[in-house]
Amino acid sequence: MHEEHDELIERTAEALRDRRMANPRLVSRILTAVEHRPRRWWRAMTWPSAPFSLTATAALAAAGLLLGFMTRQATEAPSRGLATQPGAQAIPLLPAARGSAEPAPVPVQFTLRAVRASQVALVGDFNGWSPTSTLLEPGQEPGTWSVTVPLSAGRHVYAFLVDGRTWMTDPRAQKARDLDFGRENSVLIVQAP
Amino acid sequence: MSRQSRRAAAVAGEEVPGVLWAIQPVDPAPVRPSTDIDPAIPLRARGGDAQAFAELVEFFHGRCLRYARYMLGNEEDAEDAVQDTFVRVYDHLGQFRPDARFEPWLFRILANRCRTVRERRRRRESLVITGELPAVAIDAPDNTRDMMEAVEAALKRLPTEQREAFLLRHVEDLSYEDMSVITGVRLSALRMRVKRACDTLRIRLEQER
Repeated sequence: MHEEHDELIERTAEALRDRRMANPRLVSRILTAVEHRPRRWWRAMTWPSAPFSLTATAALAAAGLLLGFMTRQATEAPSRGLATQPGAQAIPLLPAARGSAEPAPVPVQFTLRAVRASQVALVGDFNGWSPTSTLLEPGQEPGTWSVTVPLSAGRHVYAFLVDGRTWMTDPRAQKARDLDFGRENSVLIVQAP
Repeated sequence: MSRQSRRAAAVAGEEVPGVLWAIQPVDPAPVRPSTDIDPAIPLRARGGDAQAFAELVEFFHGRCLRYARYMLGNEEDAEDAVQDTFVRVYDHLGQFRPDARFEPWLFRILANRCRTVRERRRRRESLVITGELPAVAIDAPDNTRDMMEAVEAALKRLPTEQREAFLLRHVEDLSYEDMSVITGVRLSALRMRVKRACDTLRIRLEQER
């Protein structure tokens, strides 16, 4: 289909282009909005070309027992506000002070089988998509990895990052495609305790 | 296949005998300078350079605001969409491929933000508005309206997809390849949308003369 040079259309586009839209107030608003946001560092990542043999699942793991333990920890030592999962980075369990209406987070165990991986990270909206803050630990069975993360009730989007470069969705979870970036992630719904 | 369609097919990269393409005269097309930013700046911003990110915002915010304003029809929604766009850019700069061009990447996010705002507004308005909106004054323009108002009114009446395609092609000067990246729509469909938008605008604006 030929795109003709049309004087009326060209003048129309010119008139629309001429609208002055520079807006210093908006620039200031944008820069203020991002000023205190955490930077999300991503290394170059690729879609998997099946280099790993893996199965993955995210499941509520011993929720009652662990939740009771963590709630007791937080209740007994509210000033700490943190609990450390064995082998994992400390993660805030109670984001608000005692007495807050915020429901307690629910521990969720993420497991992955990736035989040839040397490092596996859990990335998601709950950790700012950080590729380093939530690393999975090798399990007793060779090639298995897991981590337990306390998550607030609601919808969470996540993925696994293998060896810092290969993006993996959870094959057993619902998928969600980010329209802006074209990347596919997994979705987990956490029920309130 | 007409001369024009042969030439257009060649432009679109379709299979056309080379000799036919070679003998076609090329229409003079207006040449404007590139609208994209120095590629080093997004890369510096990606590396954590706050000044570079500020330069990105300064360079693109006016065009983004103009596009959002024409797509959404009011300043407040447009500003929200642009702010949301740049916050998403900031959060996801690490996903920007160093070998990619920044401009289509940015406009893809912006176009999606505009669609989200429109959809949110449509749902909100559907709660309070029942039935069709009455025909507005654009069907009966008053004599005092100037060219700009007539153009904006005609643009506003285009179907959203045609308006989007027209703005990206003729106002933002983007290639059809970039538009395809931005919208996820095939080149042939985009060409059709732009053509229909131009045809409709031409008829409406000539009626206004």
